[in-house]
Amino acid sequence: MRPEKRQSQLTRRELLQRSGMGFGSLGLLGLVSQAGLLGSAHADAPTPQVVASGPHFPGKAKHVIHLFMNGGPSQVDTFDPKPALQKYEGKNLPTHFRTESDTTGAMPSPFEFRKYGQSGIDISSIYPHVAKHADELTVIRSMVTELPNHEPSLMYMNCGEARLVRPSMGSWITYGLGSANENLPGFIAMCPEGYPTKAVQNWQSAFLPGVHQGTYVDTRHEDVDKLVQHIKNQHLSHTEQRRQLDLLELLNRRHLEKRQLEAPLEARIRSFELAYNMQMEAADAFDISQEPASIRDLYGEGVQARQMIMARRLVERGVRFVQVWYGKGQPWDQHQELEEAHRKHAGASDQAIGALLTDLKQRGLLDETIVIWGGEFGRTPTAQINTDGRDHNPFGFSLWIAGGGFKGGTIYGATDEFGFQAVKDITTVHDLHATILHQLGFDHTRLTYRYSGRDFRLTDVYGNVIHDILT
Amino acid sequence: MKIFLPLAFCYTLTLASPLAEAGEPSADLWALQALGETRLPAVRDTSWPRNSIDHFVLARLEEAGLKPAAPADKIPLLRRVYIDLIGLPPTREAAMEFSADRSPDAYEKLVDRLLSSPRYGERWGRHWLDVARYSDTKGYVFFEHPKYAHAYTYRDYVIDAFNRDLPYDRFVLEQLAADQLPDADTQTLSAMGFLTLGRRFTGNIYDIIDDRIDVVCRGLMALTVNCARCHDHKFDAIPTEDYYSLYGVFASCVEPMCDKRPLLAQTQGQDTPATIEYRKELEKRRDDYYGFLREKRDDLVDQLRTRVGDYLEHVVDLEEEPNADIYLSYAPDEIRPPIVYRWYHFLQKADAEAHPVFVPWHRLRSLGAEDFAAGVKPVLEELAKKPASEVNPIVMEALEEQPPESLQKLAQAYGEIFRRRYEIHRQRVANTNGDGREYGRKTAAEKEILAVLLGPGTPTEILIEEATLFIDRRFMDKAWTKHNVLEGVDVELAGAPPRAMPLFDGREPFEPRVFVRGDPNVPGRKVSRQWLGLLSRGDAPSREFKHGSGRLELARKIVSPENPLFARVLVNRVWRHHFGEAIVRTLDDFGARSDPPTHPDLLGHLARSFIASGWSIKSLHRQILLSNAYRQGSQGDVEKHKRDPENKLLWRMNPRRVEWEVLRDSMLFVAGRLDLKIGGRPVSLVGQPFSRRRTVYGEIDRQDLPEVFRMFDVASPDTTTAERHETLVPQQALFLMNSPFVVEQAREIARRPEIAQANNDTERVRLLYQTVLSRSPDAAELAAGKKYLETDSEGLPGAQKLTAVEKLAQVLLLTNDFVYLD
Repeated sequence: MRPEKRQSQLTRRELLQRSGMGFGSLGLLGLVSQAGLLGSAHADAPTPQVVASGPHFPGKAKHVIHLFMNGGPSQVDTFDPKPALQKYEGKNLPTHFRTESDTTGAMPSPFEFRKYGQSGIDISSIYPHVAKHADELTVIRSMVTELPNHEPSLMYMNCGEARLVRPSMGSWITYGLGSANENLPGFIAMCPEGYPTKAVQNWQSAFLPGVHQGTYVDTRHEDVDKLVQHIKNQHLSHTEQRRQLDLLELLNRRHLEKRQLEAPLEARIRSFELAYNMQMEAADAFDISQEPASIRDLYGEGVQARQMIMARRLVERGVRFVQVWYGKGQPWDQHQELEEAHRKHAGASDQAIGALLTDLKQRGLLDETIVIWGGEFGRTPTAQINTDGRDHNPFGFSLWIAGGGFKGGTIYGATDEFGFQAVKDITTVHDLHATILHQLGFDHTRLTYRYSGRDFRLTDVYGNVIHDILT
Repeated sequence: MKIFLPLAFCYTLTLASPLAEAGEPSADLWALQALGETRLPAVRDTSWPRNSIDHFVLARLEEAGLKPAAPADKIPLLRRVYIDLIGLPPTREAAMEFSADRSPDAYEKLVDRLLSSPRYGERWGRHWLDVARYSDTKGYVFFEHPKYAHAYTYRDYVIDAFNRDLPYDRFVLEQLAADQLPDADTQTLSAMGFLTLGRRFTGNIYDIIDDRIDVVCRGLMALTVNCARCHDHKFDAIPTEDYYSLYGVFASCVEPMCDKRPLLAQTQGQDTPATIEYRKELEKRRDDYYGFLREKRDDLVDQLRTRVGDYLEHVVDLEEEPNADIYLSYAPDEIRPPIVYRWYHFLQKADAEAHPVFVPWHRLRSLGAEDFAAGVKPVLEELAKKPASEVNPIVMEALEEQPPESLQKLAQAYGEIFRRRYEIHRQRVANTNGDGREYGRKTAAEKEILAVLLGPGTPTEILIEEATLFIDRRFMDKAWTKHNVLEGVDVELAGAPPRAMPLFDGREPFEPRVFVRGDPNVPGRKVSRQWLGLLSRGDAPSREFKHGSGRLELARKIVSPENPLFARVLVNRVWRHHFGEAIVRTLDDFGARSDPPTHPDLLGHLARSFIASGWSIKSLHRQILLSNAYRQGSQGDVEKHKRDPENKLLWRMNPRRVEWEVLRDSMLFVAGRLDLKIGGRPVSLVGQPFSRRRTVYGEIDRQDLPEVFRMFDVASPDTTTAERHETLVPQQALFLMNSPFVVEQAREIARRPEIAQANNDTERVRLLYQTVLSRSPDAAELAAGKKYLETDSEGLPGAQKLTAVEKLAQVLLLTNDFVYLD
């Protein structure tokens, strides 16, 4: 379980040798480490590599915000209008696919679609704020996944593998890029009130080092010590803690004097400094009360707004991957009462998503941040028997991406006349992953990790970069 | 409602063709060489070696022109041995005693004393639990109860086995096949948690077996056999056939229902109110679950028996022999494919035995679809001449009355025969005394028909254990809810007795086939249940397993002294835990892509003497710990470092950081608060009041491992782990600085009577050092400590303040000295 040594990766020891610095210059090593040449976790040959060597080529993007509409939003009610369904209302469609449950007659969308922006992308009436950003969006209408069940599809979307335990995309990305801010975790998964279906497996690091696992944040809370574990000392003032850490450093330095060769000892001394700073940095990053009223108004009220503001603040501070889950369980799973529930969920998040795009753009962050909106699969254009809801649909669904060098105002791929099945430019989850990694500067076939005798990668043996949707 | 679709999966290797040829049989691979005699290498400095290990180490050092390091000082060595063997630091008294002991065998006595401490099993049991991917929960579940109520009995077995120094070959035999060992008692069944407590993959049997193959092959032999699930192994000589040979072994095994897991404690005559309550509750929940399930099962069986015709029609449509059990949830009237397959196999057997009921079936079927219509009459005429002992007259009568025009009609005709007779059976049963038996006269022909429907092992028989696989989806939720209430009784009630989690051999061994590209819907060629070709040295006939599932034979092959991997893998791992680096640094891959051993002869030598010692792990520890190689200091050396930066030649002891368990246990221990109770149900380690138990007894929830566990690199409970990651991140520091747990231990240290009652700060600082770090402070440390105590300042307003002594105690817990071993 030992990754091959990457050529451009310097271990502390190699660095020492190459630069001929001798063994007393560990302070400088600290700076090198901070500059990202070394992992934030100690990388000393031949222990397993904690961080890869960085991008293979200059990437356009540096961060990802994944807005996960868990449960599976319906494509024909959001970004893939299918007027033909009117004609077949209540009747069997000429083509039908078996999904998880039985469905019968066609169910036209209860929502109105209009074309927005110069590009004229069709967006349904439940997303008026997102619609204002039509020209920023790359709407992929031809997504497919493998199975019509939530669990494997969540795993597939997040980890590129439906059932076996594999690292999540966020873990791969923090493994690949390292940290841009050592005072914050590189991968944060936010979900209000509890976990989505499949819980922490959605952001698992699997065989990658545990540091790359997503740090879960329950955004129902506002206090930083409830959001991030152990971020605050309940007994000591900062001054008192500073005194404690000063003494600790003194003792550790004396200890180190007799053990000059031990890079990990130096690294651990530094980790207390980092932790000390992290307390302020994290408190600051999650404290949305610092935002001016104009920004808070832009995002609106409620937990979705709070999450989106946090996401922006985190990305601004260098966090690599922020996953924003809509809610615990699988809230978008409308087997019945679709109209009411889709309206509610879109309504609760639309303004905040729109605001996030506006806000990122006005700060110049949108270009370097990939914003993804989507679920684990789509829904059938047909109604579930005796209900006003739709079943899961792995055969074709929509997802959009904004920023990060994706071509705005683009519709890519298409489903059939009824939105049941992707028929043009079929896009697999592996393709999506390959393309995201590409924008971050990685050849997805080369971002690998040696485990159990094999080089694993996010895209397994699949995936093609979709160059057509990139600028 | 969820369904389980037959899952097509692929787990292919990198870009090469997924069906690439298996790696060449690599008989010359070092790991596959037999464990031959190795001579002790000659060394120039004959005064240094203390035992055989030292010869091997020194010879390589001398070859490279290097010298070993000076011996470690007494106190660092003492701490090293304590942490290595029992995972706890020496007390102040133990350190003083050892410092003062000038006898020549002081060190040997120390090693022996620690090896016989019950703390030893807790420390080394935890290493094994990493290998066993131990968890108290099942991982993501949909229907099932999330917890393993009895995983802890496996954990306790492991700890006890290490403490007893159970021979390693026996230890593994018991874990794989305690149910079949002639001299194993019921207690020993707890060993089999090794196989059964993996992730449950929401009940997907292919993945459950895959997990078992992995823990056996990679966990015990450092072989990545799982690569061969979908295609031949790309680097090692492991074809897919070998994977499915092992698959066949595990597919031939069954687990008892949750309430029928074997009891490990004698509860007779030792009733307490708690155990009485447990038994009462168990009965209640059993009645509720089995009552419901039996009712739904009986309804389904009625349906199956009245719809035989539909099933036979499906059999007619089957083109080739089915293999996989497709696992779906069914609509009420949906055909259950596994029952179709049962009919298929039943009819094959009936054909072979010339079963009188099915002789016409087979004769007519053999006509084929095209010639069917024309051929029916002559066949029936011919059969009519046969006596009733050869052809069932009821069947003949029905067929002659209305000769079937097609195979489908034939199937329906048979169905009608069974349905009619079954209706009579049901009516008669209903009209009698309720014992479920049919009274009244039956002809021999009737009996023959009924025996096809009612006998044990007939296609429509649904055992209660398998009922949840077949009942329709409307009842599935309710059945599982009741099942989980039943399973929960062992989790929830204090009086629940310990039980084992064994596997047993099923009624019939499973005849495996390769699943093409790992897809159970595409069964390929048949394979035998047999031992890996890679380790068989061409003796093909003896590879085959002959008894039941073959699990015991598999286990014996694994633990055989002839297996070149088994002993090597273990001694390599033990070495790793003592030296911080292994001889073969790819601890869980001894295949073609492994790192070659730094000391191949030493590895072989250790493996052989390990076997010769009767597989005694404690002897192995003793051998390693008594060597001078182990007793070296860890002092760095610029020159040597340049020559061998990774210390592959062992010119010094590697400095090491302690693991999470040692860190947490040590804090409790130096605070004088560690609860030394052994064994029992898992305890939660997060949340206040904090548990004082050793960390090995903490609950491991693989679906939601506490963040702090992950931050401190605890082994992932998802797959076998031979070596943990070692990361260093600020979140670890945050835990140490801020967590109420650490603060609590710091406070307790300060509250220790000798420290609380110390006369002055000098004394106090000295005692703090001796308590936390097992040594006295030097002058500078003493001065720094005193100064800190003298210049204490205020705490957070309103918050509970910490005293200066408490704060200093915490600082010592945070030092590198506390977490690194020299």
